[in-house]
This record gives sequence, C-alpha cells and structure tokens, in this order.
Amino acid sequence: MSILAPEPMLETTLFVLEPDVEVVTAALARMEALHLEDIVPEGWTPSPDWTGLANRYNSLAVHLGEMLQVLGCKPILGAAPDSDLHPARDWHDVEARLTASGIRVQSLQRQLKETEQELERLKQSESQVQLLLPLDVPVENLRHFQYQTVTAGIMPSENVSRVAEALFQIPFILIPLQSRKDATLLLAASSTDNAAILDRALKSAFFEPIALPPEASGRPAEALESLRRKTQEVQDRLHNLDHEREKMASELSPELSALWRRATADGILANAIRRFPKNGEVSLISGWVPTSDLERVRKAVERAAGHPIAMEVLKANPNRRSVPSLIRSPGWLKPFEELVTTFGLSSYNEVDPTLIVTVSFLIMYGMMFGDLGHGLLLLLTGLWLRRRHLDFGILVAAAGVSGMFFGLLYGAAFGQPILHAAWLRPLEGIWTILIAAVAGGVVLLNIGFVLNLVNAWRSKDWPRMFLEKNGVVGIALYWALLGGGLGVGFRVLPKSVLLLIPVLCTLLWIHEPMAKWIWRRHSVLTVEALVTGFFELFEAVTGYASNSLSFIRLGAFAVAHEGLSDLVAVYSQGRWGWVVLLVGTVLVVGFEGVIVGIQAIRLEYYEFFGRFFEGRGLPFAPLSLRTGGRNANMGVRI
Amino acid sequence: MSVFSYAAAQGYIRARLSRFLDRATWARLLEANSPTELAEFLGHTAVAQAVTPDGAIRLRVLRGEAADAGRAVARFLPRGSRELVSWYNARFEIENLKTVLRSVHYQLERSRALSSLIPLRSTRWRWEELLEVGSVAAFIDQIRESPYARPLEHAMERYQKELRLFYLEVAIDLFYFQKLVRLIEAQSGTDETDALRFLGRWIAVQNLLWAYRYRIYGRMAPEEIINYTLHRAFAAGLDTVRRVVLGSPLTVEAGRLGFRLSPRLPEVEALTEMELQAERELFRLATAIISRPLSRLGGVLGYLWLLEGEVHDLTGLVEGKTTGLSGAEIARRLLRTA
Repeated sequence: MSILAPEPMLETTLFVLEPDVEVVTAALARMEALHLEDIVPEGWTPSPDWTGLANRYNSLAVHLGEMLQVLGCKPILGAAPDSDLHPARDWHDVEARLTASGIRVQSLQRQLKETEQELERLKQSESQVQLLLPLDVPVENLRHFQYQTVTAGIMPSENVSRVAEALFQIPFILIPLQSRKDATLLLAASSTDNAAILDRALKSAFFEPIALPPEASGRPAEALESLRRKTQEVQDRLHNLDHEREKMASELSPELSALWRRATADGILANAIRRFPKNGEVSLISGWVPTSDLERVRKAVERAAGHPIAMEVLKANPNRRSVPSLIRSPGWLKPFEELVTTFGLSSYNEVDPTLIVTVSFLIMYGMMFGDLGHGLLLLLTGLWLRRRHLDFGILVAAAGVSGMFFGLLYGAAFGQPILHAAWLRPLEGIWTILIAAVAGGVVLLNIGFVLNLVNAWRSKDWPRMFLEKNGVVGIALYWALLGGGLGVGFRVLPKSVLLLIPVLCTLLWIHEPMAKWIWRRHSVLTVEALVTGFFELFEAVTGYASNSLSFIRLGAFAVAHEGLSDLVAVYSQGRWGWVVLLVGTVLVVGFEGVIVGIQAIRLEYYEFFGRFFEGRGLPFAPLSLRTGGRNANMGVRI
Repeated sequence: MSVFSYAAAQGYIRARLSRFLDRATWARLLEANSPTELAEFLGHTAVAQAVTPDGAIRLRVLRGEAADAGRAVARFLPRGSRELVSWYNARFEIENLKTVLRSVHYQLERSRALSSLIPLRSTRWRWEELLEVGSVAAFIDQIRESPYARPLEHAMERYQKELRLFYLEVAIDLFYFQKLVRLIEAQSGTDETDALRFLGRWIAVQNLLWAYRYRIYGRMAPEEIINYTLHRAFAAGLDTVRRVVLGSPLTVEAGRLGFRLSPRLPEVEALTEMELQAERELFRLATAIISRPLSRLGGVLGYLWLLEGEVHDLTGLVEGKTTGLSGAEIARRLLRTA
C-alpha cells in the first residue's frame, strides 16, 4: 500500500471455459477485486443468451422490490446471499416461490391502489373545486351552457397574452382569475361554433383544464364540504387496509427479502456474464486487478473452478485513461479523504495528495483559528459528531486540535491572552504573521511544483516536466522572480541574477514550439502557439504572484480571529456579560469556524491543486454482489 | 470603452483564428476521392481531433469545441453581453437535452444516444446518467434545478396525453428563444446593433421557418401556429406569423426579409433554399466582421458563427463524400462558396 499513489493495477484477462463461467464470476464478485472492462477482440462476440437472463433477473428483482414496497418493507442493501448462486437456473426456483406469495400481495396491492387512486381523485377534485371558489356560481351551471363553451383551467402565465393573440379569428373571452407563481387560473369562453378553435388554441398554450368532478354540485363552498366528507370515508378504508398489510408483511417479508437478494445477486452475475466475449467454449473476463490482490484472485477462481485457469496479466500503462484508481489510505487518513475527493479522484498516473492536503489543511486551519478554548469547543463538537457516526466529525475534531495547538502558540484561550504565547500574539505581530503566512504559502506551492514534476515523470510527459509553467522552467522562473527579487532587494545577490528572468520568460513563452521541436509533439501552428504562449506567460507570471500572496489570508484571519474574540471578551464584562460571551463565542466558533474551513479548502483547491492535480481519475468499482452502489461499472441500477 | 471591455475576448479570438481551415485546405478536402482519404487529409489539419484512430470522423467533437469556445469567450465579456453570449451558447446544452429526451421517449440504445450527444466539457449534468432515466417524467425530475424544467413541466400534461415529443421540444425552444430575444433587447449601443445583425436576423429567419414548417408539414391550425412561434422576433414577429397562417406565400414573406428565392420552386424546396441563403448571409457577415478589429460584440458573435459554419460545412463535406458526390456538387451546398 502506498500512501501517496493509487494502488498499482494489472490488466488481467481470464480465459474461462463455458461450464466454469458462473462459478468463476461468482467467486470474483464475492472477492470484489476485479474492475470489469469491456474488451471484445476480433472474432469474439458477447454472450446473447445471458442478456435474456439478465433482463429476467432484473424484472424479478424489480417485481420483488415492488412487492416488498407494497408490504412497507425495504430490501436490506449491501448483504450478499449466503447460498451458492447459479444464475443459469436459479430463476426457476425464484419464480416458483414468488407465485404463491405473489397472488396474495397482488390482491392487497390492487385494493390499496384502487383506494389510493380514489383518495387521490377526491383530493384532486377538492383542489380543483377550491380553485373555483372565487367564481361563486353553482358548479353544475358550468356544464350546461348551450351556446357557449366555457372552460376553466391553468396555464403558464406568459402564455395568457399569447393565447389571446392566437384567437384573433374568433370572438372570445379570457378572464384571468388568479395568478400563482408562474401559472394563471383562467376562465375561457367562446361560442359553441368556435369551440374547436378555442380548444386548439388553449391546448397549444399548454392549458390544463380543470375537469369538474362528477360528484361536485352546488356552489363551490358546498361542493367542497361534500367532497371532504367522502375523502374521510375513503381514508378510513385505507387505514383498515394498512392493518392488513402489516399482518401480511410480518408473515411474508423474510422470504420475499431473501428472494430479492438472490434475484439481485443472480442479476448482477448475469449482467456481468453477458458482457464477456465468447469464442466457442471459451469466455474472456477482462478487467483491472490491484497488484496486491492478484494471487488471491488466482487462488479463488481456481478453487471455484476446481482446476487451473489461464490468466494473462499485463502491467497497466499509466497513461491509459481507462485504468481505474484505487486509493487505499490507512484507517486514520480515511476521514480526510473527502478533502481531496470533493475536488476529484487522483488519476492512475497522479500522486494522491490526501496526506499532504490533510497536514496542510490542518496547519492552515489552526493558523487562522488559533485559540485554545475555541479549539477545544471544536474538538468536542467533532467528537460529538463522530459519536453520531458522522466521519466528518473526525475532521472537525482534528481541526479543533490544530486550533488548540496554535492557541498555545498565540497564548489565547476564549479570546483572552491568559497564557504565555509560545510564538506571538497575532495582534502584536501583524507583519510577522503575515510574512509567515506567505512563506508557508511559498512552501506549499513548491510542494505542488515538486508533485507536478513527479506526476509528469510518472506519465512520461516531458514537456510538462521541463518546459511548462509548473515544470523546471516555471519553477526556475518562480524562484528567479521571488528569490532573485528578494536577494537583489536585500543586496545578497548581484543584480545580474535578474537577467535570468527574461531568459526564463522567453523559454516559457516558446515552450510549445520547443516541445514540438525536441519531442516531435503534435502542436498547433508556431505563430498561434507564440500568441497563445504570450498570454500563458502573462497568466503564469501573474499567477505566481497572486497564488503566493493569496496565502496572506492565513495571517489576516488569525489577526481577525483574535480581534473578534477580543471584542467579545471586552463586551462580556457587565451583568449580562455571560450572555454576550455565550452568543459571541457561538458566533466566533460557528461562523468563523466555517469561514476559515472554506478559506483553507479554497487555498488547497485553487492555489495548491492548480499546480499539479487534475483529479480526473476513474474510481475503482469492482464487480460485487453488494447492492446499493458498489456496481458502478456494471451499468445496473439497483 | 468597448475597446477595453472586449480586449481579452479579442486576444482569445485572434489567437484562435488560425485554427480555421484555409481556402487551400478546403480545396484539397473537396478533392478527396473517398471518405478514407478525406479522413486522412483531415487528420493533418487543425481539426485532426475529430478523426478517430480508426479513421472515423466525429464532427460532434468539433461542436463540443465550439461550445467550449463560446463558454470561454463569454467569460471575457462585459456583464450584459456575457449573459447574452452565454445564453446563446446554451443551445448546445438544449440540443443535448433534446437528444436525451428522444432517447428516453423512443427507448433508443444507450450507445446510439451517447454517440449523438455533443461532448460538452463544462456542463451541469452527467449526460450518461440522464440517458439512464426510465421515463420523460423522471428525466424532468432530474433536471429540476435547471431553468429548462419549468417549460417542460408546462408541456408535460399534453405530452403525457398524446405521447408526442413535439410539445416538449417546442416548449423548450420557445423558452430559449424568448429569453434570447429579451437579452438582445436589453443590449444597447453597438452591442445592440451587432446582436440584431446576427442573432436578431437568425431569430427572425427561424421564426419564419417554423411558421411555414408548421403550416406545410404539420398542417396545423392558425391558432396552433401562433402559439408555437415567437410573437417578438424582430423582422418576423406576430404580424408576419399572422400573414403566414392566413396563407401568405413563402416567396412574399421571404422577400420581406430580403431573400430572393428561385421562382416556381415547390414550398418545401423553397424553405430549404431560404434556410441556406440565410446561413450563407450570416457566414458572409461573420467573415467580413472577423477581418476587421474585433473590439465589439459583433467580433465575438462572428467568431462563434464561423465556428458553427465550419462544422456545418465539414458535415456537408463528410456526408457528400460518403454518398459519392463530386467536389463541385458538395461545394454548391457549402456556406463558404457564397
């Protein structure tokens, strides 16, 4: 396991005889160590028979899932069935056992559905009659016009004027009654002769007519009362059916759940097998296996098949986009993985920056939020969140510890300078802390530069390594600007050092034509490359300065934190001082804690990652029997 | 002021003008003897990225790049024109939404739908996931947070009753063009003039084409045609549409917009001729504008128009070569010959 890079992968192909395909696939799925890849060599074809089986299992799983849903139960996600799986024949048994229970559940489902539909219809009628309340005319009157077509309904507000234009050929009446959000309740009328035109115009303006419910009569208020009584009766009926459902659920759900898990697992296997190309009696199972798992995989498939299985194993080409990334961080680092994965997953040929990001994030957070007392509150909040099984809690707790550590360096607890400052008090050493912040940023950016060199080296991208803005030339320019500028300013270095700057700028400007010349790289026309190169050079130079200075916020927030805390402390002196202290502390810890976190993440993502990290990795999603999200590369929704 | 406002956009566009295929390259492409030879020629040009290693030509890649260019250049613009160009660029996203809608409605094969999508680098959705939704209703639910959801929801009732995608497509088109019209109307000064010259003209032609298509192909009633077209569309607004629904001939209405159609052409062919004339006119305008200083919105719109025009012509070229047309025959159908 490498803490700084995705697991090395092996492109693995298994040549499996037809009778062994099921057991080998099941063994692979139980191991969760193979990320399938679709490769169909010439002369090989996918297995069409398995497509039918996969569909059958998918339908069975959906059907069983629906039945469980009718009974108010949820299938248990994640659990793989214990029994041996044989997708070629299991469906017989699943279907047979499903039939008996199915009839009872379906009957209940039908009754429930009918009752729910009736309830829904009554509620819809209620809402429709409610819309008619402003009319205050008997509902039945609207149905009995002889020479007029009158219709009430809703249409998008912006279409009301459009429909009026569309009816330019006939006499008509449009009365907007009420507007809600972007829809308008409208009464439209025309003579019966023109009913078809009115209807077409309204329909094409996306008018939704309000169908007058047959049971509604009298003025809208009376009709509404009568509908509400009927709704109550249907609700009582539904309540009784719910009791019946609970009884049936306790009786049938264990078996239906087991069947669902089996059908789902068989479906996963059938879906996988249908993708394996076949040639005669041999099927090809191709995919990516972590190097450390290869022997385990070999033993497991051979044990399942009962004899040796031919395997072809190739080292992954790191520049292939399809190689998945598997990051196996040690347990203590896992809660911090999200700091990186929120931005993106490391590609196979990229360094995984989780460790560096964790350390730098905590340092930056602590620097901005340094206070022993506030850090302690954050630590306690984090531990409380962790007790509620939120991994995020560990990050909060660690940020709290970092805040406490810097609190000791600043000598502050709850905004009071009651401790000896091991380093300095931010308000008393503003320039020192600002300079320290920028210096820290320079260190982090240079770590980013180094990581970019490593990434370029891993992917054998030499122009990126040597010539580009984050490569050797770029780093040299950065140091010529920063180190050279400071050195000459403080008269440590001779002025001639600054001559390096135009030389390096020129190299950076012409990096694309140079790459084309040295490495025979495909490139745009030289003139265009020079124009683009000029803009890129400008952006690179300003970027070096702005990225470095961006870290000044670390110091600024440290000063602001102490200032704010100080303010709270000053105003918490009187009789109600404890209220001010309480509210102020909550504000400082809550709001500032979040803002400081966002600032630290921003520095990581924009300033640090911008130097080396793309995060376009393909997640390693092994073939698995678990349900609920592990089969990302299966194309199956479960 | 515009000189400064458009400086960055101008730099961006100038840096990319050399990526357009020049006359000599076009002449060479038209002379290709087969699609394979064409792919080989294209593989050595600035659009080589559209040629796959196995020699297939994927012009959708170029449309994706045109979309990216639109997005990139919009970032450099002052606020008002940025909003206009960004929304104008939304047509790529809408095209993809329609592709997904069709795929879901007709239950098309996923791979087929995927190959029809424009590869947009910056987009709010994972198109592959949208293709997996089981129904149009579920699709609309997935895009709930976007501005396109409301117009689709309005049309949903009618779609569910008649199961015709037309209602959803027309709802989204109207929504898109109505907003585009509002954004053009919100411009002022030279930006407004430029927006009207390109987009105003384009919208007017589209509206007229819609009205005639609904009348000729859809045999729709007047009130339907009026509801399915734009009422504010610059030179071809409500009054024009009213005349169309009351039977005004295409040659007359096209003449009002300045097009001279060949006499005695059947209406269906006249529609195609008008569409080509309109596109050529805008292409000419874009070519002329791009050769001058680009310190106005017209330069940006001209550049984007040329990008689309090149894809249009390349599509014609590839299809022409695939169906065995000669170079001269293909050239007659291109925008750049005008």
